[in-house]
Amino acid sequence: MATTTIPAVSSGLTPAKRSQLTKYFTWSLDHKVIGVQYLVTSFTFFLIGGALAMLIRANLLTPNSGLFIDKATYNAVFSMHGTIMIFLFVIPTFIGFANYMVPLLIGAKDMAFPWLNAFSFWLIIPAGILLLVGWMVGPPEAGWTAYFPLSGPIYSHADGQTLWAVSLHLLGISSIFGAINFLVTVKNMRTPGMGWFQMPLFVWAMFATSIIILLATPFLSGALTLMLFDRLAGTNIFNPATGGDPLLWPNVFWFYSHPAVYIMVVPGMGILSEVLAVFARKPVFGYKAIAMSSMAIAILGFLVWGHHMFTNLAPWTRIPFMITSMIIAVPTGIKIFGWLGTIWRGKIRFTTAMMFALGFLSLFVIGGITGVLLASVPVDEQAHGTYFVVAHLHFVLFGGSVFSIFAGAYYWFPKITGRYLNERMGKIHFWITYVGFMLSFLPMHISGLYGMPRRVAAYDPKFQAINILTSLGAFILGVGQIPFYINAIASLVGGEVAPANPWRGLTLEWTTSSPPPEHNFEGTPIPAPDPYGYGTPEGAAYLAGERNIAVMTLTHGSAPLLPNEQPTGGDR
Amino acid sequence: MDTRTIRRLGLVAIGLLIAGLFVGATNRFLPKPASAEAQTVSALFNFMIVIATIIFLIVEGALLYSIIRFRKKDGDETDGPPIHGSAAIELTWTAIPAVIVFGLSMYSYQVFAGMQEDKPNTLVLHVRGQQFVWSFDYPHDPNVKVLSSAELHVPLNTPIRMEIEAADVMHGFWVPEFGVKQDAIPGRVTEVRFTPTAAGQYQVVCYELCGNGHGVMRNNVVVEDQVHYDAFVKSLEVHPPAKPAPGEHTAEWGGYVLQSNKYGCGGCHYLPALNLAGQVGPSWVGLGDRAGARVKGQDARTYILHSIIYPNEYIVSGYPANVMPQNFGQQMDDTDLNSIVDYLLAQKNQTDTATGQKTAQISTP
Amino acid sequence: MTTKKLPAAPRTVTMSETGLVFDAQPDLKLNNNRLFLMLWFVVEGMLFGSLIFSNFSVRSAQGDWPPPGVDRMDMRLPLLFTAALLISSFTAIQAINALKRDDRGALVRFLGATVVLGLAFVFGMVNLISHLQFTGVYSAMFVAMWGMHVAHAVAVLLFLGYVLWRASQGRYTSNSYWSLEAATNLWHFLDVVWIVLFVVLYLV
Repeated sequence: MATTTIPAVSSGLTPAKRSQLTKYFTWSLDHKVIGVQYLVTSFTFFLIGGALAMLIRANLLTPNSGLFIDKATYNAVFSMHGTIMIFLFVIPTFIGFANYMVPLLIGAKDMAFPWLNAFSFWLIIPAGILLLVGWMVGPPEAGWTAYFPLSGPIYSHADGQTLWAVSLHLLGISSIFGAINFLVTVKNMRTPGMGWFQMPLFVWAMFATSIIILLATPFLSGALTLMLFDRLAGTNIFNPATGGDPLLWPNVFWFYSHPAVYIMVVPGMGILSEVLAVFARKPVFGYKAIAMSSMAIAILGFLVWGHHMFTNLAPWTRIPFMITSMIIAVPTGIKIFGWLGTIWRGKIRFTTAMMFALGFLSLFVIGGITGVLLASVPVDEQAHGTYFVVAHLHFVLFGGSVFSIFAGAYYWFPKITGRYLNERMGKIHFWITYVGFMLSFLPMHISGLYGMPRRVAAYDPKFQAINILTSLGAFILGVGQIPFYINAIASLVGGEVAPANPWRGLTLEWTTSSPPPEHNFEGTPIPAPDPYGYGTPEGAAYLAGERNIAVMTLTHGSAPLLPNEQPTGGDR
Repeated sequence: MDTRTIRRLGLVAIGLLIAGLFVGATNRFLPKPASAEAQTVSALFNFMIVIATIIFLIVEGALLYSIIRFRKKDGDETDGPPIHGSAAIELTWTAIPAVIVFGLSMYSYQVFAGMQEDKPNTLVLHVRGQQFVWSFDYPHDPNVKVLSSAELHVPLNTPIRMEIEAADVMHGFWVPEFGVKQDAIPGRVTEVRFTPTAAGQYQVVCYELCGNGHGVMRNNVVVEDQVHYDAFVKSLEVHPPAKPAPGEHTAEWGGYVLQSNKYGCGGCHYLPALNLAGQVGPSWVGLGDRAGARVKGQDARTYILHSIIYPNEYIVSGYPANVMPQNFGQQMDDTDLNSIVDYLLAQKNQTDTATGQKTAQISTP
Repeated sequence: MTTKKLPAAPRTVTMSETGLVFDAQPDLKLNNNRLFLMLWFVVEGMLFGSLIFSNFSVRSAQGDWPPPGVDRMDMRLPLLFTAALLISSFTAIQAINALKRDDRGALVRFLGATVVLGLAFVFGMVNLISHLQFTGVYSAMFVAMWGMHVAHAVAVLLFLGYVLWRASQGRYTSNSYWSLEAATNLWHFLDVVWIVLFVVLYLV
C-alpha cells in the first residue's frame, strides 16, 4: 500500500532565494511565474486606474468643471479609467490567478501550451504602453464605449483613440490565446480521479469564462477592425452622412462587452465558492447547480447585449432583450442562494479572505437587484445613462469582482509566496474599503434617478451635496487600498512563514509546498474524492494525509489512471 | 418542519412583506412625476422596489444572521455538517425567482406597450440635438416664419410626440420628471412620447456622451397651459428683415440671425431680448459697453469679431475653453458674421439681471 | 440532503517492477494541439461572423443593397480565382493522402500545387481589388471583409510554404505530421470561410 504524506513545512522566500526574483522580469514558461507577472502588472494598473478615479471625484466636488482639470481632460480621464480598470486590471488579474492556480487545482505540471501562455502575458506590456502613449499624443475622450460618431475621425482627431483600438486588439489576442490554453488544459490535463464533477468550482468558473472569451472577443476584434478602417483608411462604415450606420457600433461593441462583464465576474464567483467552503468548513451547497450556473451565465450572457441599447434600438426589438436580461438573474440567484446555503450552519472563521468573500455577497446582491431594475425597459428609460448605472456597475464590478479579487489574494498569497499576508492589516484594508465603497456608490443611485447623467464634467448645482459625499467616500476608498500594497510588500519580505496547507483546504494546491516546486507536485497528485468534503470522514482522512491508492481503489471501484510522460519525437 | 418553525417563518414572511410595501410606498427614489408616463413608470418602479426590498432583506438578513449565529466557537477546530445540497430547496430558489422575473417582464411589457402609440390629438414637436444645445421647432401657421428655440415649451395635458434628430454626434434626450428617454442618432429620426401633467419648469438633459460640453447640455423646459403655450409659439414668429446686399451688414439682420438660432448661439449665450437663454458661455447683456475694454489693443468691434472666429484667443474668466465651436469663421458668411457683430455692439445701456446694475457702469472683469 | 456520489474510473491497472502501471493516455500533446486548432476555428468563425453581421446590419440601415448609384461587384473573375482556391484544397487533401502512403514525391508535388494555386488566388484578387475605387459604405464593407480574409490567406500561405520546405526535407512520417495537418486544415477552413464570404459579397 503506497502512501503519500503531506510535504514538510516550506521555508518560503528566504534571502537566498530572493535572487530568483529576477525570473519574474524575464521570459519564463512556468505558469506560476507567468501568473505572478500577470498579477503584479495588473495590480500596478489598478493604482493607475484608481488615481484617475480620484481625479474624477476631485473634479466633481464642484458643479462647474475646472477645479482640477478642464472638460476635455475630464472626458479623457474617465475614458482611460474605464479602459484601464476593465482591460488592464480586472481581466488580467483573474487570468493571473487562473494561470497560477488552475494547473495546481487540476493536478497538472503546467498549462497545455506554456509558450503561448508566456506570449499572452508579454502582449499585455506593449498593449498597456500603447494605451498610455495614447494619452501623450492626444487621449481618447469618447468613453470606454467609444460610440460613433464621437469616436470617429471627425469628432475625435486625437491619435490616442486610434492607439486605444490597436491596444485593445492586442489585449484581445492575448485573451483569446489564454482562453484556448485554459480550455485545452482543463479538458485534457486533469489528474486521474478528477472527473468533471470533481473539479473545484474555480476551475469550472475559468472553463466557463474561457468559453465566453473564445466566442466574444473575436467579435470585438471585428468591431475594432472596422473602427480602424474608419479612422485610418477613410471609409465611412459608421458615418451616416455617406450611408454608414452609427448604430452598428453599439451592436458589435456590446455583443462583446456584455459577455465581457461576465468574464470579469464569473472567475470571482469561482473564488467565492473556494473561500466560503474552506472558511465555513462546509461543502458548497449545490455544487452541481453552481457549476452549471456558470455555464448557463456564459451562454445566456450572449443573448442580452441589447439591454445597453434600450434607448437607441428600435422599440419593439428591446423586448426580447428585456426578457433574456431578466432570465439571467435566475442562474445568478442560484449562486447567491447556494453561497448562503454554504455558510448556513457552518463554523465561520473570519479571516480577511472570508471577510472579503462575505463582503462580495452583501454588495453583489445589491448590484444584482439594480440589474433587474435596469432590465425592465420602462425603468431603464429613467436610469440609462445616469449615475444609477455607474452605481450598478461599480456594485457588481467593485463590490463583486474586486472584492473577490482581494478574497483570492488573501487566500492564495501564502501558497504563492510561502508567507501569510498580515491579518490585522488585512482587516483594516477590508473595513476601510467596505465603508468607503458604500459611502461613495450608494448615493449615486439617487442622483442618477433624479437627473444627473453620467460622464459629465459639470452638473446641476442641486447635486453638489451628493457629489461631495460620493467624493469623500471615494477618497476613503482610495486611501484604503494603501494598506494592501504595504501589506503585500512587507509580507513578501518578512511575513510569517506559511505551511503547505495554512487553511486546511481540500483542493490540490494545498497538497504541495508553499510555494510549490517548479514541477508543482512530487509524484502524481491524488485529488480528494470531493474537493469540498468538509465534515465527511473521507475529507478528514484526506486532510490527515491519507491519500493512498487503496483508498482510491475502494472508493472508485477500480484504480484511476496516471498520465504517461509527454510523447517524444514528432514535430512541434 | 415543526409548527414553531413554520410560525416563525410565517412571521418573518409577514415582516418582510410589510417592510417591502413600506419602502415601495414611501420611497422618493424617483423625482416627482410630471407626465402620465412617469406616473405609470413610477408605479412599476415602486412595485419592483417592493420585491427588491424583500429579496434584499432576505439575503442580507441571512448573511448577517449567519455571521453572528454560525461563527466558529472558540477552541472548536472541527468542521461543519457535510450538507451538500437539497434538491427541494434548490428547486424552490430557482423556481421562485423565475416566476418573479416572468411577472416583472409581463408588467414591464404592459407599461412599455402603453408608451408606443400616438394618443388622440397628439402634438408633434421637433428637436435637434447638436454640440452642445437642443433646438426645438414648433408647429405653426405655415404662412409665417417661425424661429427655433432653445427652450422646450409644452402645453399641459396634451399628448406630445417628440421627433428627435442629431446634427453631429449621438445625443440623448431626457427630461427626468417626464420619465422617458430616447437617443438622438445622426442620420435617423427617433421619437419619444409623453403627456405632461404638472405645470412648472424642468430641464431637458443630455445623457449620451457627446463631447466636451456634454455636462452643460441642459436646456429649460416649461409646461404651461394652452394659452401661454400659444403665446410662446407666437413670440417665435419673425418677420425677417431684408437680407443686406453682399458686402453690407445691418444690426437688424444680425439680431434676426441670432434669434433664429441658425448657428446655435442661444444654446450657450444669454440675451433675454432675443429669447436666448444659454448658460454655458458669457452673457451678452450689455456686451457693447464692455467689448472695447476687454483686450488691450482690440477695439470693441475687433474683440467681438475675434470672439466669434477665434474663440480660444481670449476666455472670459470663469468660463471654459474648447467648448465654443472653432469653425464659425468658415461656417458663417460675411454678411451674417458682420451683422451679428453690429447687433452685439448695440447691446448697451442694459440692466444686468443678476446684479441690477446698469451695464455701462460694470467694470471689466 | 444529497450525499456525494463518487465517480467510476474506466481503465485497468497492472503491476510491474517499478510499481503500479496504468494504461497510457495516448498522445496528450497531439490531442492538445488538435483541440487548439478546433478552438481556433471557433475564434476565426466568430471574427468573420462579426464582419458578416456588420455587413447585414449596414444593409438593413441602407435599404437598397448595393446602395443607389453603386454597381454590384462583378463576380466573374473572382469566380475563377475561387475555383483555383477550391482546387488547392483538393490538392492539399491529396498531399496528406500521399504522406499516408509514404509517397514523399507526391506529397511535395501536391503541396507545391496547393501553394501555387493559393498564390494565384491571392494575387488575382489583390490585383482585382486594387483597381477599385473606395467611396461609400458598400465598398468599405467589401474591402474590410475581403481584406480580413486575404490577410489570413497570406499568413496561412506562409505557413504552408514552411511546411512545404519541411516536407521536401523529408521531415514528415505517416505517424507524425502535426504541422502539415494544422496548415492544411487551416487552409481548408479559409476555403470554407471564402465560400461564405463569396456568397455575402457577390451573390446576395
